[in-house]
Amino acid sequence: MGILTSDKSRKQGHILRALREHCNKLCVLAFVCGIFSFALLIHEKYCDSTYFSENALLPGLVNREFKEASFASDLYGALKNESVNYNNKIPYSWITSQFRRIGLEVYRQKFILKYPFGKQYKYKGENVYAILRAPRSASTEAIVLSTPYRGFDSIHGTTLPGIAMMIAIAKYFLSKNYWAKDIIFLISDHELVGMQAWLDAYHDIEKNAYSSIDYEKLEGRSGPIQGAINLEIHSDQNSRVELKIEGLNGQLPNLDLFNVAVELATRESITPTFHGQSHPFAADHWEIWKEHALTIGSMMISQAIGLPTGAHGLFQKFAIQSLTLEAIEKRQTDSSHVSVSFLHIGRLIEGIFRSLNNLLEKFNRSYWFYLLPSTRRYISIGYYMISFGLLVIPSLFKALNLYLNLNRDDETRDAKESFSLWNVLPSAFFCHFFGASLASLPFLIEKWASYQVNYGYETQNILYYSLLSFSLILMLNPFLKGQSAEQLKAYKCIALLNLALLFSCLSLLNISLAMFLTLIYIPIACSISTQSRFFLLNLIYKLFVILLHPLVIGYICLLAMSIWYDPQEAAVTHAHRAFEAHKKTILFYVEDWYIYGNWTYLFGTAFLFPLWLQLWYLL
Amino acid sequence: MMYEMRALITFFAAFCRVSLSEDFGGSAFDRYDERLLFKPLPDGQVYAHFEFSTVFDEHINDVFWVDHFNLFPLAIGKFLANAKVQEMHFSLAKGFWKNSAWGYNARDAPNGAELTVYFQSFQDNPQKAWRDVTSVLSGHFCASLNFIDKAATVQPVYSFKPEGVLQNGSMRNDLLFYAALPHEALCTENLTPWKKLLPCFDKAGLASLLNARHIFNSHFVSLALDLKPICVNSDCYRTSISITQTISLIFNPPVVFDGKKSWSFIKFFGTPIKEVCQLASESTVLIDITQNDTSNPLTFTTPPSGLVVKKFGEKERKFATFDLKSIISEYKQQNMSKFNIVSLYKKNHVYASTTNPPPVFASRYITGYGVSQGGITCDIYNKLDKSVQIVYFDIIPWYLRIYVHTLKITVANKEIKPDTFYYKPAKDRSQPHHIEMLLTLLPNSVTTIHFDFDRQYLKWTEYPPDANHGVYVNSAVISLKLPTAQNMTVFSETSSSDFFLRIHTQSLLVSLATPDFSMPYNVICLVSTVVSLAFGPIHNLTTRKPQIPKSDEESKKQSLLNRIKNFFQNKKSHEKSD
Repeated sequence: MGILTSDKSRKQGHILRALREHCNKLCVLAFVCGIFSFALLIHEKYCDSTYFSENALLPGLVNREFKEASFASDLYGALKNESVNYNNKIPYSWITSQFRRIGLEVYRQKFILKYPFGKQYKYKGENVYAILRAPRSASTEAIVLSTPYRGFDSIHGTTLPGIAMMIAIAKYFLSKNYWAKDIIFLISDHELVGMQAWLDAYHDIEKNAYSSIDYEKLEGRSGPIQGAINLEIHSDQNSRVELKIEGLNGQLPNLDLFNVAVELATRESITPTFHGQSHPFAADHWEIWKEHALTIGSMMISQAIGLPTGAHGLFQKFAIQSLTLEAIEKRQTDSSHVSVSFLHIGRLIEGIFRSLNNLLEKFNRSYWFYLLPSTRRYISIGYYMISFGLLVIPSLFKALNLYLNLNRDDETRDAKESFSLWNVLPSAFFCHFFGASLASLPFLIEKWASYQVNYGYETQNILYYSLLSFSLILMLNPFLKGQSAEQLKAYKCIALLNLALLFSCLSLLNISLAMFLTLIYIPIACSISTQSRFFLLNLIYKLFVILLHPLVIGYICLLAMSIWYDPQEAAVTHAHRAFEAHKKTILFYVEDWYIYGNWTYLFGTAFLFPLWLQLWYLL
Repeated sequence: MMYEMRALITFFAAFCRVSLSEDFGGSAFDRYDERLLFKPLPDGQVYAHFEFSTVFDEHINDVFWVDHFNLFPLAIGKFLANAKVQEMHFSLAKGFWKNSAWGYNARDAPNGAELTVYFQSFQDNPQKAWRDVTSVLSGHFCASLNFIDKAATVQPVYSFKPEGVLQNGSMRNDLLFYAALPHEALCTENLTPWKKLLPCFDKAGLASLLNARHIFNSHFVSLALDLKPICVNSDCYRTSISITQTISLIFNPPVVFDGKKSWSFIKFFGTPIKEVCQLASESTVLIDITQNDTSNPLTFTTPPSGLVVKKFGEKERKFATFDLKSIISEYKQQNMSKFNIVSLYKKNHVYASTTNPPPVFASRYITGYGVSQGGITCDIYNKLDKSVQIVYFDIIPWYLRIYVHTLKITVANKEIKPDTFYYKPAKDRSQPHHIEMLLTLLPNSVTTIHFDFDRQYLKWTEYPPDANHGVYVNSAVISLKLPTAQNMTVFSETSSSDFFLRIHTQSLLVSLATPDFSMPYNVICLVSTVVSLAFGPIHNLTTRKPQIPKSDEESKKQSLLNRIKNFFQNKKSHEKSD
């Protein structure tokens, strides 16, 4: 058993000694290799082409025959006129009568969103859905076609054409005899809230007094949902179809579903784009690399943020593979003659649904963990994990080095002074305890909601300033700081191990977030010295660590965003704007946690913040 | 002893009767009738129900000595005599009968296969006989009934009581067997042997309409075979055997054709009727015109032979009838060979905004998500103004471990207790969970039955070939006596005010956690290798204190000779310590 370590360890001694002597060099090397290998992965030659893993999908095997485009246009015209009278409310009677007229079962579902903070307002909404029962099937499986309702003047762009499309396609689907799975057409009210209410009701998630969505039981239902396509069609003349896949907490759908959409869109001469980029065709490798880098960067940012990019993002939590097809409206200035009409989109949807209908089993092949540099290239978990591992490993090297130092010094000292790693436990425990208490802050705010209302405090301010002051108090707290140099070493060792542990766990849930955090945390955490005698150097270290504070990271990101969108503005304006946005964003994440189960706030407070505190107490 | 006596008596009785019927040259009271009912449904679909019934004038216990079967199917006759079957109900269906939209099916059948058998009282080994029955039927109907094993079989306690005449007193529970296979698909190979049991096969009469190509294009298909002893006359002094073969179909003319509800034999079945089955005593087509809409009335190109009003309890139903025997003979005289019923509507079908749901119906579904836990909920609706007592019957396969303590029956968020409750827990691989309960449904209420379960791991060879498709759970069965004939589909008139009804809920699809079948070998090899290689070093690393040799300089300065010496010394000391 002496492959990794030898028993009578002359060899072991060598390896460890080499590690001790060249630790810093090794750390830098691994980190640089990590970045370099990731850059290499994006290169066209080193990332794989996408392919179909699930044979049953058979995309494009049949001719797509949808021809109800004029019916869809008529419906769109009628719906536009109808929606004007409804003032951004769903024209329920019109939609239900349309679905019923073609012969579908139509149901409605009411829900109430109980806002947990402030005056604890209640928002009411109502979803509409229709079920097409597959002939000769026992309603054991279903596929969903959904769209959120947005009126003609919605700021996010209307979805009325999508609804018209949905009804037209329902009419076409009904005339076909080949369906093996029921098809559910769902129009959700209040965007994601309605979708969440419907999904909760469909899976009969238990409600209690604390749940923020109170939903009505579904009257009509079918079997387990095998796949879902969410539509966001803003116009009847479009230039391309954008595929959106990032879901809640950075969850992704099965790559096969994405491939089906890309393949069928291409076959209908629709340009499928991912983060605004279509598959690059260029002679120059460098050009392609740049496009790949832009796409993957954009995808990673959107995944790291942890917010769903569309209503498909909520399905994924229920193990339903889903994506959003967003038709991008053709601008007047577009010179290209390519135009994606109702006919094209209808045939695209028909193709995807027939593929899903072909599925014998639920999606179980292909990849769930991947990064996409373009619509036709992917990097699977097997490759990007190597880069990620190289980025994380410096913290392990450093921790091992510190641990060896602790041990070596043991023998030269008295037993009294020797320091065991177990002594770090109280400090680490308290850091985590404070983190957990920060995470439970919203519950306290919720409990004293009436207090906020009576004294006119805004929830976002209470939350924000509590977080800030709590952090400050903990930063100034002298009790948890390491005193002796030995203690500090042990502290640092544990902090580094914790970092490696947290980031590698996170990488399995949300690789993008893990990657970004690793990129900033590991270099700083590894390079700070605990025994610096120079005041100035110490100050610089402190400044760096402050930059790593979760709140500060958030603020910097928002500031960067503000500057990106509006480069002309004065610096003070940006600072102020980012500050205001920061308060809102934190509350927004908390709300998302309550309603959908977004864990970004929880992660920031209960997991990242304790580690940051441990780093802070090193200085 | 009792049984032997009885068998002896039966033997004598049979002997006498066989000699009697030989004298008469075949049974004079055998009878074969065929009927076809069309019922336009409120949602624009059309329900077609074929019923072929044969009555064999022979006591069920005496079939063993019969060698001339006349109209009765020989295969079934031999088999029921050998297995000593008293009563049998077998059905195969594709699709789910939507009670809430279509009312009640005349012969309700769950998706897949369902089989109930009640053995004769002198069957000594019913367990073995049940296995025999399933294998014989499996061979006869080309259905996978041989998959009915111990793990799929239950012996119902309150449900599935024998429907026919029971001789010699009360029913015995150990003779009653029930099993269902929800994943069994109904297809042509099941239909052909089923048609072969008919006296005229599919060559003449109503059965000639049963073309597989058209039947399996419909929205719902079920075929069934029911065998039971019935009374010959009202005093029930003698009994005979009745075998009823039924096919229920749902067609959707407005969607499949031109928006109208109009239909004809040719549209539905691809063929008119050319020949009438001469062996049939009655051959009728009935069309339910009770709910004929006056603004868009149903008309026929050929006038019906008559109008019949039948009374079912308080409800009356109007039927237009076509007597095929007389019609075809008339046609023959006029040298026309084909008879086609064409029903016409002038206007397009308008879908009603409100449906007229039947008095009692149910909906059952899986709750929760993921592959570790889940729940089953069954909502039972009672739309009547009276309370109704039902028997709820549910079989759950053993690989779903249900928690009986989570069983909750609620009406409007108030928990209620069942009148009687029977539960037999599952045993792994040999017995399913068996739940039966008597419940009283309150007037105008929704009763919800819910329980939670855990999903088990199967052994990796036990998974079905399409493991990631999931496994099916039987539909629950609800039996009740309905005080009204609303939404019922029955042929014969009755004056009684109660109607026995059995409805099936949806069968469910549950996904289980599956191993990665694509590379078990690779995974096993790799994982074992890695574990074996890594265990030692990791154990070392984690249990020992790593130390760095103190005197770095010394070791560097060592000459080659010293090194070699050290090497051998080390080795020697090793051997010594060993």
